[in-house]
Amino acid sequence: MAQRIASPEDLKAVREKAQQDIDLRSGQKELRITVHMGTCGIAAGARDLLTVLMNELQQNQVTYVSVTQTGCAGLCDQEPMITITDKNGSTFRYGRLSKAKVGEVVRGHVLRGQPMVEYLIKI
Amino acid sequence: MRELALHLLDLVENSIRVGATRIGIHLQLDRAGDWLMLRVKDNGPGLSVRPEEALNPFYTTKSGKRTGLGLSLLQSAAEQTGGGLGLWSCDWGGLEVWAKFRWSHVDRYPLGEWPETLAGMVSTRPEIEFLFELQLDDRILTFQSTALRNPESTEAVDSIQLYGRVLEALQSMLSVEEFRLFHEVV
Ligand SMILES: Nc1ncnc2c1ncn2[C@@H]1O[C@H](COP(=O)(O)OP(=O)(O)OP(=O)(O)O)[C@@H](O)[C@H]1O
Ligand SMILES: [Mg+2]
Repeated sequence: MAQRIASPEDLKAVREKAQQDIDLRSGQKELRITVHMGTCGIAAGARDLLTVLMNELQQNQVTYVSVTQTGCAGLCDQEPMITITDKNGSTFRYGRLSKAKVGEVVRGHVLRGQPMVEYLIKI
Repeated sequence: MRELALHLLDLVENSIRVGATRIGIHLQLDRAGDWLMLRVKDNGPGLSVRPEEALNPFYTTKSGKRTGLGLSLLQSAAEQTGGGLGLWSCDWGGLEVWAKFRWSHVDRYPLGEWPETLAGMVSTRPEIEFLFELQLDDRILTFQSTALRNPESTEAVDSIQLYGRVLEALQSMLSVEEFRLFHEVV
């Protein structure tokens, strides 16, 4: 859980973190990551994936990605899942993710441009 | 879902899916009465069936699935504390969902990670206008709707995160004085 704000310095730190969050999200981006947040996704841990995702992107100073949420994708047994869409419109669906796996997806797919085939949903 | 923040996220998803563009969230703790109330309302089309039907776990208007679990899960979470859940049409034209919990009940789920939940919700849904109200006894904190008009602005994200801190404070049951101090910081 985040720390309590007790002083103006704490406040400043929160602001700076918020600023980085915004830089992450604004403008036209090369990749879009969508986190599926239906009841099934949320229950399976989608909110925590979103948090890890934003932190990973921030730590790696990735600025070419936008993050968004959407509802259930109708694949409840694959939750929690994310979809990555590139600027050509190709989509990659990753399912049954954990916090650790979503970190791997960011490092593999987003940073190195190599889709993590083993976590892709096969339909 | 063992966290109230997750239920909130779920209600918000319901509202967005039916096309709402304004969502109001009200969280109220009444310490003398020993209850906590979460209310979420929207400007969507409202229910097309009776409330009892919407609460049926086999009722859903989502295509491609047979169960609609969100509302019934929240209902049982509320009922297990001796509280309850209700649905009615609200002054914004859409649905209002309220869930009431006995605050001191051992089976009440924790409030959960509100800062992450609120910040994530608002920053990934820039097209939706959110209104937050946090009420502790008779004191109400309202999240500025001006900031909400431009949810990617620094002020908005700032205040959301601070707002989250206020909720954390509430969770750890600060005194009313401390709460006010907090408010002044915000
Ligand atoms: N804010 C709302 N406005 C109008 N109708 C709603 C709203 N919230 C829920 N409903 C209706 O009630 C139904 C049941 O909602 P519930 O959250 O229980 O399940 P669901 O959203 O259909 O599926 P799940 O939550 O399991 O992903 C919805 O399918 C929808 O028809
Ligand atoms: Mg739902």
